[in-house]
Amino acid sequence: MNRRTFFKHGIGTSLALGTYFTHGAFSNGYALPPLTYDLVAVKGGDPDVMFDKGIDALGGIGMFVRRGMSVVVKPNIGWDVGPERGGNTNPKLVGRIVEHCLHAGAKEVVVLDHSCDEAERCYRNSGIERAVRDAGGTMAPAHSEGYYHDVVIPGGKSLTAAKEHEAILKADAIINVPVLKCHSGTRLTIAMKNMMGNVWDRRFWHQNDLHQCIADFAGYRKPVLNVVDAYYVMKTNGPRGISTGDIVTMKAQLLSTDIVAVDTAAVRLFGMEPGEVRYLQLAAAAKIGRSDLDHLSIRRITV
Amino acid sequence: MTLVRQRNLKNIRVASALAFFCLVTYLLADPWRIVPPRAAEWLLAFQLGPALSKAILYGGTAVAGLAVLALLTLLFGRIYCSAVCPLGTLQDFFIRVAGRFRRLRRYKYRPPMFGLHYGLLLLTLLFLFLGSALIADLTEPYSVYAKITVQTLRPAFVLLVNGAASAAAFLHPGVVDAIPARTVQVPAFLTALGLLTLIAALSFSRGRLFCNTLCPAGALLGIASRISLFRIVIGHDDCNGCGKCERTCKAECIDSPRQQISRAACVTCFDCIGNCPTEAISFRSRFSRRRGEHHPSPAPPSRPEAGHADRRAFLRRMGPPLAAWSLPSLLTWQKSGRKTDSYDAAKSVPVVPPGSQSIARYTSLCTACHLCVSSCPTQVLQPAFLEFGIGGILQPKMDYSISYCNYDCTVCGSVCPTGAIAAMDIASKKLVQIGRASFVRDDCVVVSKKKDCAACSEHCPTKAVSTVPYEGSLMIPSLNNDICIGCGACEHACPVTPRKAIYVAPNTVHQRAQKPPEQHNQSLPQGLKEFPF
Repeated sequence: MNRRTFFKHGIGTSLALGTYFTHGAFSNGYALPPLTYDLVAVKGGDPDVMFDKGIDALGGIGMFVRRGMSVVVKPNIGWDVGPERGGNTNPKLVGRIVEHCLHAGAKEVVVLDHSCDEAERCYRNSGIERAVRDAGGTMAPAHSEGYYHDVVIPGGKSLTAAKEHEAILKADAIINVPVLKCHSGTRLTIAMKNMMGNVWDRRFWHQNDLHQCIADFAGYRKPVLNVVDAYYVMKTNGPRGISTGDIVTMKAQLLSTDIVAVDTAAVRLFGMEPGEVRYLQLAAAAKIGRSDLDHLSIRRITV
Repeated sequence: MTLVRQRNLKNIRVASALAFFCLVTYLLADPWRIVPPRAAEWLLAFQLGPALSKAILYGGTAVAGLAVLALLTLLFGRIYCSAVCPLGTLQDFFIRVAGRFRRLRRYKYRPPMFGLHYGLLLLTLLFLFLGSALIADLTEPYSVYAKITVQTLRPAFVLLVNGAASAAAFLHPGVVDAIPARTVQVPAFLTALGLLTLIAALSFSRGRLFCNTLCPAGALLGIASRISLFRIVIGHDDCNGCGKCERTCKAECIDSPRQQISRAACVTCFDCIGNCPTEAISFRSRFSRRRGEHHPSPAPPSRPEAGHADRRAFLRRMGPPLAAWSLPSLLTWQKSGRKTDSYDAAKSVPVVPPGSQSIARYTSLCTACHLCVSSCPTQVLQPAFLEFGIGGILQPKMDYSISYCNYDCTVCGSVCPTGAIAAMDIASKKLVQIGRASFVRDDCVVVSKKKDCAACSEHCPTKAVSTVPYEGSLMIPSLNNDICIGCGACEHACPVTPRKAIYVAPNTVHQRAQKPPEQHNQSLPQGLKEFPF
């Protein structure tokens, strides 16, 4: 199904969305209204369906992507494993996000990750390459240093400079689409940790207080939206995993503009306490986002 | 030979040569790695050297290829050298270029150096038998052509494509996928360049001299071609003795005044047939007679006998010293392979790819064609220089400073044309332990800087490197070598420089790793019940 037939047939909530957009509510120059919710949590559906519901609750993708924008969707495509292994973001979710962006009139939607395993195999075997192409988006290669350019991280404590991918540097908006996994180095990898795939030299982070570097980078580059894929959640042997035995099928998804809030909620979803993840504490202390879930307005949706 | 007109023989030969040349060249340079391994296997089954090796080791496709080559040779002589061999075609290219420059000075008949040629063939086989592929590495024509292509042509091609990609990306990002710029190893590049220069120099000055002195395939085929059904003959009555055939014979095997063709040296290029003004030369069955042809040929040349004597003398002189030289070098090399208790000792011998079974087996079979180097998706396979000793020059090694072996990949074994890297199914490959990791705790970031890192554990595909609680909330790597396969992911990812805090020491003989224990997490068939916030 391509995005045209998808919207034409009105699957999910797209009918409502479609009506919304055709009325031209978000033509250029329109000031965005404040969001109704700080965090939307969805459970019980397929990744693409949950996104339809979740983004609808936030007012549609048009709240973040306007006509003519160049958008980067940044999933986790770190490993040469299939979707059922939960090592990468679910391809259905990535494809659906690309469809929404293009429907909102995005000039182009580019998807990339600086993979850990061999890049071509990761793009292909994660299923993300196909899903993105089917949705009308573009996969950007990210496997050589030439694609990355120097940036300064103002206010960074450990990370003061990095080389960031040129597609991200050129983009008007970034949608961060991590997958929730346990991680043998940082305990958990979610939205903040996922941004590590934007840069070239990750060894520097590992050598110079990984947690602080993750927090520093989260303060530098804020996505317009974070979508945490918690459909297949890797509970053991993360972040690469050994088999599908590492996976718990949680069928959940979190959406928020606040990277700290979405990570805090995801930590809870995983079954841990936010205090156990140091980069999250550092980011909350640096006021990069809010970690007081009790004071946030949360919309909970069951599909 | 009435099915094909004599003058068309050369056209058929050229067409076949160009087809093989283009296919083999593309396979080796393939920047997008789109040639399926199965196609590569079939194509390279027709390369004599590798096919012989693979047929002896495993049989299979290579046997079919060899059977075809044997049949062709017994029928038509050394047709392989002119219609199949890519190095032969490369030489023909140089010869053609040389011909443009010097129209007048052409070839003249020289008695074939059978002593040297067969001596080298025997020496090549002796070396292989003693466990060194050194001579085959430097003289087997497919391997020579292949490493020239992979080390010089391929980088040039990649540079060209990437240049085009950058230009395209300037207009529209992501339009062309650039090829990962392959690391050029300078010693390998220079050695390949040296070989190319040598081949060019030989063919510029003496035509197919390489094929009739150094090439082991040429020697082997020369022996078989002595009894071939068809051969090129000079019809004595038609020959006016102009000597044009001799002057144009790049194999220097036509003795025009005596109207003799040295069959074992003839590469069956058919150039002489088209060049003969009186159509005296033809490609004929040994049983067919032609007007004026004497059968058997008069005055058989006496030189081959001299060749036999040369060969015997040569072997008598050279055999023992060479054997004496190669054996100790093998022994010393194996000794160093066992010392794997420290970083330096571990790094003194390279890790060899899964499927090569042991370093000794691998180095004795690999002729360094570098097809695995150009096919390896992660580029972890890189040509060694002298790390395997002089006998293993340019044989590929696992270079974890560049990358690591992809867990779900078996490409090198499936493309290896000699069988030095055995083909394996993915399940067996995942259990082959090519080396074992060593963890230098004091150098680890977690200990030296008291900060979390675990890049090693993160990349480990079997979780042989996991993490366990250390001081406070810190997690430190912990090693279980029973399930380590030596893929090098940990070593590659480790941020500690210059000496990695975790590194792989080679297994001299590959071992079988245990299967990593699988987790069985409690499944939630309905998904999450309640949001915990």
